[in-house]
Amino acid sequence: MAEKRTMTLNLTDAEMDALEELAVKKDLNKTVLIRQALRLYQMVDQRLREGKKVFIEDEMTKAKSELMLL
Amino acid sequence: MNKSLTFLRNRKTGKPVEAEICDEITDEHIRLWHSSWMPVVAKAEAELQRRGVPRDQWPQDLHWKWDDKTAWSRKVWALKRYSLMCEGELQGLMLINLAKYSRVTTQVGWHIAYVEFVATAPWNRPDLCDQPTFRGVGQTLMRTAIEVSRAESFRGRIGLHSLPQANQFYQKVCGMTDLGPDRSYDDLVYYEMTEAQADAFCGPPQA
Amino acid sequence: MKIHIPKDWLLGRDHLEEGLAIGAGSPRRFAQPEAVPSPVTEDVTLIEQRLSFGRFISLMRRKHGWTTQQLAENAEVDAGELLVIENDPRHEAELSTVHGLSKLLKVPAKRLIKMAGLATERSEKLAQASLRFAASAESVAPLSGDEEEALQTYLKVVLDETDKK
Repeated sequence: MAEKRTMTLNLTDAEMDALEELAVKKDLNKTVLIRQALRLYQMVDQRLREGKKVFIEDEMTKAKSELMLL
Repeated sequence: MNKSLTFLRNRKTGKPVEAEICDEITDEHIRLWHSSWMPVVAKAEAELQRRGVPRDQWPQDLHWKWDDKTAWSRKVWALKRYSLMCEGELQGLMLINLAKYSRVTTQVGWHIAYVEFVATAPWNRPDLCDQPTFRGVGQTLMRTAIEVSRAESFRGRIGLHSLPQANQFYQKVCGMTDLGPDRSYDDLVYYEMTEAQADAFCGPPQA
Repeated sequence: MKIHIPKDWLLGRDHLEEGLAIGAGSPRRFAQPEAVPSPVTEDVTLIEQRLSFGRFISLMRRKHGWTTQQLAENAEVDAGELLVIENDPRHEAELSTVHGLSKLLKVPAKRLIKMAGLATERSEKLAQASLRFAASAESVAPLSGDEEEALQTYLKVVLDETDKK
């Protein structure tokens, strides 16, 4: 892997609880989960920068709504 | 960029030959793809045409443009590139996506290393030539995908959509689970490997 | 990252792969036009290049007085694909077809591959010549004087073009 750098992340209690809960659900440690979140964020951001839209589809109804990101 | 030593089997001599996995697809690899794979592919296409094989029965990956795939992958952090070299020639290419989820019921929502694309050089392909040169490219690249998955803490879980002519390889040789044809991927069969299957395929993780 | 694959592991099981294909990936995944950087500019140039290629094949065919079927038979390529090459600039020609045409028309394969827009390296000189040439020709009618001249000028650029690394 590429050389790594360390950072400190300040989270609220609620954010930390959510992070820990997600880590258990996803079978990942918290560091890896944050790294994955970054990759997913960048992937969405890349699509948006290419002028594409990102949609969420309801599997049952097939209704689509656009994912609005700042 | 890292290079790792591995081996392939030269089918003609039966002897092992040193090979190298690189965790990147460089411009040089793309140049080799274009200058050495494409002419062989062109000859193979000409032969398929001469034999009157219907176009829809030609291997679907013959025209994959690895320059485009590589360029696109560089824009997306979750996409990782791998190349396999042996005797100065490009033997295999692979793109892995680290932002995909498992569909296996017991591990839905868990991350996998998803193989977006994998290919061996045309001179290694039994569907394109009577005497393929090297053997072991497929398992080497699958093992690579598993090791990448382990390094990412995904415990060896991988997934991919197999080309029709490769179903037997993924099912019988790699021991992957067949999750059926996927309509959103041209009805290609989707396969996954669980942690247990990965351990069975390649032995327990190295410490 | 370093990948450790024990030698004994592979050499103990490579025989399992004998005779088996290994490819994976959807041909339609990536939606290839998106994969090209600067899609708008690149696609337009590529379309124009293919347009010129199609016109070139059409003119060369007419120069010899061949129907599409006759050209296909002489070049040992698929007639259906030739029709598409001549008429649809969105179509990417098969490499084997380009090779067949290059042998018959006596244009070096590397040059014809570039003209067909299949080369990764694009020649500015050839692209501009393609643009100028693209404003000509139709159907099975014999070449007019202007068409013959345009074809000869374009051929000269194609054959004079030196390979770039």
